[in-house]
Amino acid sequence: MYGMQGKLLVVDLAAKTAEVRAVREATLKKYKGIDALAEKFLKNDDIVIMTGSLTGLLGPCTNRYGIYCGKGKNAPKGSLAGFFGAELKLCGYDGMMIRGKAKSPVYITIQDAVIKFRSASALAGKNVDAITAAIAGKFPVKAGVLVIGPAAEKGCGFAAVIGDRLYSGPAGSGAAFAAKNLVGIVANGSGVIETAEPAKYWDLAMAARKKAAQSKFAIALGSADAKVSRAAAENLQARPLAGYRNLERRLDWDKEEPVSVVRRRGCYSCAIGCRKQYKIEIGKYKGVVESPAPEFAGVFEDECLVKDTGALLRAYELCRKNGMDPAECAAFAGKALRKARCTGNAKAMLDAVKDAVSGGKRTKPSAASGYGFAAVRNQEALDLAMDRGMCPFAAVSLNASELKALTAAAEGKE
Amino acid sequence: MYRKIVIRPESCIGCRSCALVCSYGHFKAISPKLASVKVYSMDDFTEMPLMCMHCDDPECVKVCPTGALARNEKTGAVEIDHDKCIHCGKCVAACKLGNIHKAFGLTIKCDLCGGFPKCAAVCPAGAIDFIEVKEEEE
Repeated sequence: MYGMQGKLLVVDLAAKTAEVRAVREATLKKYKGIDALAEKFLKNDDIVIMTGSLTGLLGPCTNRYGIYCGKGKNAPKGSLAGFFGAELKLCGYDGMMIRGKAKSPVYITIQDAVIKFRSASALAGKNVDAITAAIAGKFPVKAGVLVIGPAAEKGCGFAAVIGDRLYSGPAGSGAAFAAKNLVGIVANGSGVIETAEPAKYWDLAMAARKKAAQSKFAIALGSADAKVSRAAAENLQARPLAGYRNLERRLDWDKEEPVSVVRRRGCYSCAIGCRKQYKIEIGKYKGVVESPAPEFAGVFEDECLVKDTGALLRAYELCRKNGMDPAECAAFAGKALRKARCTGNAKAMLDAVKDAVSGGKRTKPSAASGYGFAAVRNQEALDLAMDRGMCPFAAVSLNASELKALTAAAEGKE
Repeated sequence: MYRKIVIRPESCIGCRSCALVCSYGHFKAISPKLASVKVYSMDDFTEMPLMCMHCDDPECVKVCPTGALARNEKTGAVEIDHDKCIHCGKCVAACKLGNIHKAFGLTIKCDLCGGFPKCAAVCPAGAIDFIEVKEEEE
């Protein structure tokens, strides 16, 4: 099937072996999409990483991939953005199956057909940024990286793998990696991905990119100018994310604690650029911090009722660097603050986030701070896009017929 | 008046859309090897797209033994005539910026997409621009 490579990388951590398994065309057509394909290959306590037919292609934000950690109702599973999925596919693999447990901490490097297991003993106790730099720095060009942080090592229940320094995997995925003594995976590919109908796909992809980039939602998410961001957010008929709304509202017009956007970044094939580097200009928490999109820090405002923007961004940064899921970490901190009757206290929130690194237990986020879209008119399009590897931030601007045409041009006819 | 590519690294969001559109636009397939635009990471926050600058006095044209490289006077681009190219690699070695490479048996470099560079059109952050320059401004 076009858009896919027809190969899976099967890794056995105990034996330190890697083999390539061919995936038949019929299987790819029967189990279309990230979810169906991952579930097909998922066994017991294996970890499966799976891409969709749009992952790695030219399109609006075609960079999502799924991580599935074991079977079971509460087993961590979810998708994340960044570069890793696209790089894995450019290496020639639609996904990875990770089996067994390494005797000592290791990380895996994938460079096209060359797979290596390397000792990660020297990385113990280091944060996500340091581990990412250590393992990805060996590549001459930018690679896709998945790592765990100190939270996973210390047994935090909502420890998550962090993709490309910034994008959190499902809560609990970090613990699943740590249970296998797997500290990280880095992939850098130079292969080829083809589509079924190149000319048609080109037209549809370029039109979809334009539409996604010009939507009010994308403008609000991507603007480096907080005033533009605010104006677009105010004009949105549906506020997409509670945390986003809360934090963006505070940017630039909160005179007591001004926070400005220094610069923007994007994931693979991004048409929006929602990841931002913020500068907290005054106050106790001043400095430069980075967040993939404002809602990730905004969840701390929703759960802990802290109003200090600098503290909220610092809480997110602590969470990210230690490798924790922001929504559950914020919920855990909020619960701790309510118990101690200090809701709204910035210092107590930051202390609770630090405590979570070694003592965090799974905590369900409140409805307000959970990820998602409060008012999505095109749920069918959103589900289809995410299942094929497109970011919801782009997909939310497209309709189902556009998405179906795009995937058909990529994958080919039945 | 002529047009030229301008790169603004401070605006680059590192998405590599420029490289993807270059590869797909020319070869109808996605591959970093097929793209004549490369995105270099300077640090965690800074990335920079780089492609052929179509030099005023291009070394690659001087060293080409078959005359496969020549300036297209209409677009200003230094282009490869693939029928004449013998893939000797002299242009790859001659380019001081490393903006010509070989992949899949082809010599790959920017051709300004016939005067309408797709990388500039697709960049979501305005990091690559194709601007008009008046001779006197220069």
